[in-house]
Amino acid sequence: MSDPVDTKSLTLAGLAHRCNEETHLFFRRLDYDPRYCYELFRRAIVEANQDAHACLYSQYLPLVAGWVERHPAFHTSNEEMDYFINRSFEKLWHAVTPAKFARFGDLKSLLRYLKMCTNSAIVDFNRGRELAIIEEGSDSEEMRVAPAPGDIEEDTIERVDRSRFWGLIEERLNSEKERAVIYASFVLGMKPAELIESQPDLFDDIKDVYRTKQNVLERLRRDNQLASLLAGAA
Amino acid sequence: MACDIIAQFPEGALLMVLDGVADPAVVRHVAQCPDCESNLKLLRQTDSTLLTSLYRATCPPSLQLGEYSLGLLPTLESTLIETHLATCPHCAAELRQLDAFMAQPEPAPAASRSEALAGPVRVVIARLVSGLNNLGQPAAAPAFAGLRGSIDGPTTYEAGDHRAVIEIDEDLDQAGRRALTGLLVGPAVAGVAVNLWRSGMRVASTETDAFGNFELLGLESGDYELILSGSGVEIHIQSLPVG
Repeated sequence: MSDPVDTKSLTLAGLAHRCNEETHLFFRRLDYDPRYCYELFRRAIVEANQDAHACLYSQYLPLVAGWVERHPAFHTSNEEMDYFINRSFEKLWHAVTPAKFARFGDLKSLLRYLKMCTNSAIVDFNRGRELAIIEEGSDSEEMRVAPAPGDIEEDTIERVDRSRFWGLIEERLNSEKERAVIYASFVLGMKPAELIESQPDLFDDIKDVYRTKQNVLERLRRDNQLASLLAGAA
Repeated sequence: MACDIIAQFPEGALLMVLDGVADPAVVRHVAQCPDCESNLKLLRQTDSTLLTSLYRATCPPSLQLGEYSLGLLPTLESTLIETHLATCPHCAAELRQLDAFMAQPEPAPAASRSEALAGPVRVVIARLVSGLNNLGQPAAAPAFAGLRGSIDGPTTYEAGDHRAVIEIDEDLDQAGRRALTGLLVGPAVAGVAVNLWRSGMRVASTETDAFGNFELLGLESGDYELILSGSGVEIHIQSLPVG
């Protein structure tokens, strides 16, 4: 029998209740009706209904917690599970705008996106930690300080800054060889031995890599515009 | 700060000292040459600054990588990501991890009541019929009604083949709180889940007895939503004032 009720006519409580019931069926791989949860997402995202946000958070918190728990990088992160749960939802609310919501035709696609956001939260944490380790090992007095991962706006600004800085460096490289060395050394964090292994045709030997790298570093160091940028970034 | 001796070694020798792979003769020289030591310090500084400023500078945000994996990006953006993936082992590894993570089967939660009631559910929004019958008396009354001092009711709600009669009384065991007693009339009224919601939160729940009676105690005054979930049908009383 088809349901005569338009989901839009249900209250938030009514939707939350049915969403909860249907979600249990979904995860038991039984027939389920996705319309109620989908309508909750619609109210949260399209209507910016904060109560719907809260309902979805409480509805899917156990699910997201399960995803975090089973993520291969979670247990080595030494971070609280709640941190990743909250970041997952933040990412979803931030990324899925009302205009973008139309691209999600069903509940399954929304939940897949939320799961992807969970992965993204953990990846961001690990990227931030990698950078922190690099900075800890650095003895540069001009060292840039990356913000701790956690704020979407700050993360974005940081990423744009890095990308722009790479653009400035790239303008100062004179050959494919120089670009390969600087990109591999600083953007990818590779050692010369790893570079020669990955691009054996571009270099004569490892000394060629060191020679190219040292020449570029000395040239960049003498570049007044770059020097002032680096000082400003410190 | 030019040093004649270091010029005799291959270019890049200082950087090799930095990486710990230099000829021991170069290392010995640098240890006793102030010019080379100073140059080495500057090189180390530039090297560190560039690494901390550029590390993964061209990598797409993790969310964009995820959208690529889910096939949500426009063609041009996808092409750019593919180009990047061809040269970035970090992003390639993250993508592999993401794909494996997304492919994990979903956990099966503990069996719930809804599993027992699996099947299509017809949701019916109840409408308020009346508080009294044609004779000016309660049309029906819950079994527990009348035991307490009545505040509201009984009121009757109709939902398809069902009727729900609700009465609000003082809760004699909890001063200032209310007791809700109800009777569900219609087909299959035994063992129906009764859930009371307020402000988007479930605040109380119980089940009907064999005759459709139910009771919820200790309620604060306010406006609630009552949801009665039986086999194949769910009744929503969207506005239930508890005075």
